[in-house]
Amino acid sequence: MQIQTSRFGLLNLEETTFICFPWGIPGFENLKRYVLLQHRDGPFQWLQAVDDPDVAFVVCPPEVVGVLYRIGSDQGKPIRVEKAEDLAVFVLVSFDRAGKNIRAHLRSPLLVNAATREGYQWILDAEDLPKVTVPAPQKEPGKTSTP
Amino acid sequence: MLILTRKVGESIRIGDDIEVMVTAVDQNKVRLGIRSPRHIPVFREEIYRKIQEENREAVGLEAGDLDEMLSQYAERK
Repeated sequence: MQIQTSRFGLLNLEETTFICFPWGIPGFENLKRYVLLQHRDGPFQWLQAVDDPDVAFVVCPPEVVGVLYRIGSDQGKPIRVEKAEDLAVFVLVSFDRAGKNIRAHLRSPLLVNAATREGYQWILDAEDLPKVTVPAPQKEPGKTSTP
Repeated sequence: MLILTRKVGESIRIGDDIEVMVTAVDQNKVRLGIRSPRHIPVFREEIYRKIQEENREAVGLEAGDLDEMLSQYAERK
């Protein structure tokens, strides 16, 4: 399927690679289909909305920003995670241009069932927020090419 | 908006699968218990709104910003 994106132009992508967010993502509730695109050699990826060219989030695995989430089985239930290894976690990242700071959105990680390609944004209560365990990000080897 | 009066221990049903029960009332605080199907996430409104705003901000990121981020990232390494 061809997807128009404002950042990466026209992309030709397999529908089987789409990730469905049945409730959308807060602020973008009407967008249900997304696709992950690798940025350069990692560790960041773009979560591009299939149905809106302008909507793309930057995400990375939580380890990259030095965070480990303690995720109970309840958190997997909305996306029907059956095996722990099927659960993939991403944190949204934003960039403060003025302060040149990278900010990871720790309170609201994305949980994805890799087996069914379904996801949702888990919103943690303040008391569940993880402690940042590593001050500087750890680089991970990338896998695929830049979109 | 439908407005109802409930006592402690009484519930409200939304459809046939969501139950909202008043479990305690303090001077200006109401404790609610929510029973909903496991596939429906439940969030506090103000936190949900905050996350909506943060998500909208996050979408402003361009590929160039990400490259700048990556260069910083390489420096920190």
